Amino acid sequence: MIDLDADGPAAPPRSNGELVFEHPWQSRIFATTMALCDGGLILYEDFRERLIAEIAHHPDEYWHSWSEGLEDLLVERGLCDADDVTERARRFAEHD
Amino acid sequence: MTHDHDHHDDPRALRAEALESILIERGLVDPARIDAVLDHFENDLGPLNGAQLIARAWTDDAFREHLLRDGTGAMESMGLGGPQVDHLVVVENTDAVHNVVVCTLCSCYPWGLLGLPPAWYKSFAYRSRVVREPRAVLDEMGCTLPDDVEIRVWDSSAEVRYLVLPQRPADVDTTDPGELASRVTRDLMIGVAR
Repeated sequence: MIDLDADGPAAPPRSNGELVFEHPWQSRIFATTMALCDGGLILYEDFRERLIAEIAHHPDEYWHSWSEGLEDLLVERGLCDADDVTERARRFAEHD
Repeated sequence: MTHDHDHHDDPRALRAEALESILIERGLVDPARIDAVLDHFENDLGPLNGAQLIARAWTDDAFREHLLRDGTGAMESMGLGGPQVDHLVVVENTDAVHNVVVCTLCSCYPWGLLGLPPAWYKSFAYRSRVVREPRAVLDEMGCTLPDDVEIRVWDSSAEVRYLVLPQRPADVDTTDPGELASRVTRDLMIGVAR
């Protein structure tokens, strides 16, 4: 990965073209969300409500808020199960 | 299936990867579609789209008036638009007024015109402070405004996306749209530069 500038992701802009994503998982979860919206499985506006709620809880962990907001919405809609996600994340962690 | 775990010590990152993998496995989302969406956002959408609107407004008074009166209509008349710009409002900088855009609740941003927002736009510091003390925040971002310039802060909402129409640089005498557009930066259109 390319390093962000020394002042971190919340640093003021000094030029155009800075990174939007700090890690690939962030770009993946973003694109996954948009693909789900495109496919009509969720509405962006419904997702946005969860994103706002998560950001209010964790004001400076944007992509964590994004990811949690998406998972909450998908669980609520019965499209995935939180325990399944926990189990798979545990397996991923063990493989690393 | 391969998993590129790029952030091993971050449980939330692993959880996001796990979620994506389950969605793919269940056929709810196509991995090729994810790649295509990302490619589109990273490569097709960007400030150049917004810059075309601004460059035209700088040379065409009728278009400028249209853009300020009905941002969505003017944008669509140029074949521009795209995600997150269903309702566009354009606000004009003048000698006396400087406009700056924020989304205090999350990260609403005119993706179709500017691409994806930079990290600082989504930061708590920017979202909370630019409303309270815009002059200080702009100053820290290298945009120092004279005291007699009024600052107007526009808070994006679920429906409305704002775009700043910056003042045309005094040193530009060309009417070439491409050359003018090259002078329009993302930061000018958010209003953190002038």
